[in-house]
Amino acid sequence: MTEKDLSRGGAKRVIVTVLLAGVCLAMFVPLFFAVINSFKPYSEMMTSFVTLPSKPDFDNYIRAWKVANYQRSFVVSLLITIFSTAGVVLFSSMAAYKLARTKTGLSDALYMFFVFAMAIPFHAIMIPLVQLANKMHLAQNIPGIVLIYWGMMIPFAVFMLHGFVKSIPLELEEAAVMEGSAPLHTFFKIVLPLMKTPVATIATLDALSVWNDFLMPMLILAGKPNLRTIPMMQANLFGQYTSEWNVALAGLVLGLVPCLIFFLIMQKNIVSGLTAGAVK
Amino acid sequence: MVNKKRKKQKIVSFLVFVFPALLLYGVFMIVPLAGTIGYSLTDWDGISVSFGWNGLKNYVRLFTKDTVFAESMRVSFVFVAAYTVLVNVLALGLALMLDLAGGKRKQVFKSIIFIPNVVSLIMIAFIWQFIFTKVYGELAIGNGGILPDITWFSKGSTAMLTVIITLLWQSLGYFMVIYIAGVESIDRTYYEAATIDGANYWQRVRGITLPLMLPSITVNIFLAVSGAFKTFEIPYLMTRGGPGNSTNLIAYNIYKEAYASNHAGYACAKAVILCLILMTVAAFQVRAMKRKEIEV
Repeated sequence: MTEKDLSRGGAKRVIVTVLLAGVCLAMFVPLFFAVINSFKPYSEMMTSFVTLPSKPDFDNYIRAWKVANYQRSFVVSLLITIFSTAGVVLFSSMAAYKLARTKTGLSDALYMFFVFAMAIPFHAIMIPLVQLANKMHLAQNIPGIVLIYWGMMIPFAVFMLHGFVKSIPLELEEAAVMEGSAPLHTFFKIVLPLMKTPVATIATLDALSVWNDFLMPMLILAGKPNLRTIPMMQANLFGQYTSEWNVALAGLVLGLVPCLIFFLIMQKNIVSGLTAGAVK
Repeated sequence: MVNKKRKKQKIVSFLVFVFPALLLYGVFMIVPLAGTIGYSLTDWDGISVSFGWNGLKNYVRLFTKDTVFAESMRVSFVFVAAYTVLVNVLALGLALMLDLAGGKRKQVFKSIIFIPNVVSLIMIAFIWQFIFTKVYGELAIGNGGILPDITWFSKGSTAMLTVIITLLWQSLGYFMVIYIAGVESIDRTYYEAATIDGANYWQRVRGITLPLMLPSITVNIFLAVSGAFKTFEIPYLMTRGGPGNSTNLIAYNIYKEAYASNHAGYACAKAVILCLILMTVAAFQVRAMKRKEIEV
């Protein structure tokens, strides 16, 4: 490369960086307005939605926290997310392992049957699903919604893990079987530890989608105020404070915080998982 | 004898491993799917225990008499097309820009643009509703600001734009991340060779980057199409499908038919149509990916 090329590349880098900084700023604009208004008393917000708060006022946060019963929603969301994710990971890693290791027509057909699920949109099954949940007494309780999430999320997890199992060499398992290790024992002691990375990725993605889901809890848990997940709590808060945006926005910021913390910790897993899931 | 015993053991172990997953998937997805197809042939209201069979009447009504459904389909396709083009062009552009920027700043920019993707769509819809109804007005020319005077939710076309902008803002980072992985997988020696041959940046993008990113582009187009067809939270929360039916997207339309109008049987017929659309999309996707595998 000549010097001219290098300097032009440098100029291009600067221009691109400035443009990207602009994009990032634009991404922050909506959040910025949400946050500044959450710190204003009602009268101040009504005089202007775009000015900075004269002094940060935490009243909205205290009200939103109390009215929304924030800690309750947090625990509900957390319980549903943990148990849903754990079950999906357990059952789908077992199924993916056996399906990948069994070379029969039935096994292939069952794998395709799991893959088929990925083309079914939730809206195409929700009406009978709600009816089924009511009949089976799975509506309006946490174990019920967890069980349903297992059914919904297992197919994608089986699909993702199936490909990974095929890349694990057989020797270790064979040696264990030779020594008389039972299948379940072999799986949990030898195979599952090898699947740690993709399992962690799936768990991260599933946890995120359960935590953020709105439609399913609205359909399954509605009518029980003490079983409101965080997204349901948000919708409820905005329904109650249709004009008092400052209080509703404070509740929203409270809801954003756990997502952002989770993102900062799990960023690598989220990004690599989404990429792998899409490109596969 | 021994052989038979081993075979039996194998079957038992297969069942132990596969059956729980299969049962859960079957009960909570396949049974309801069959239910949707069954109920689509009835006049069930979603509440009563009893209902009457009415054959294909729901489908006939769907395609011949129901102008709301026709409009819902039309706006859904417009929305899907507009969103798919926009999200892919913007995400691809951002990925190329990030590649050019390189270094540590690339990571920082990437994370910032990705952040809305980890936030619930319901919260994002609230944030944007606030922006469009309150903040924007104050920044418009009519109120001494700099932005054009638009009352976003009063007209169909601008209401549709709010839905597109909101979903774009939430999902742009996701598509961008997939494109970045595509750019990063390209062998850098191609660029060096092209540079030595005198190709400038745009020639390299056109001749090397874009052709080699065709797989990522294919994946992202399909992801955008199926994602857009399933958009529910934004019309549910922000526009209620309106004004008129201008943002009455199909997923929201199904929900409303079932739970606001109590026409569960009829809603199931709509759900079957959505399912068929998405399965067609998936079938095309599988075909496109297979062709790619053969080429490589």
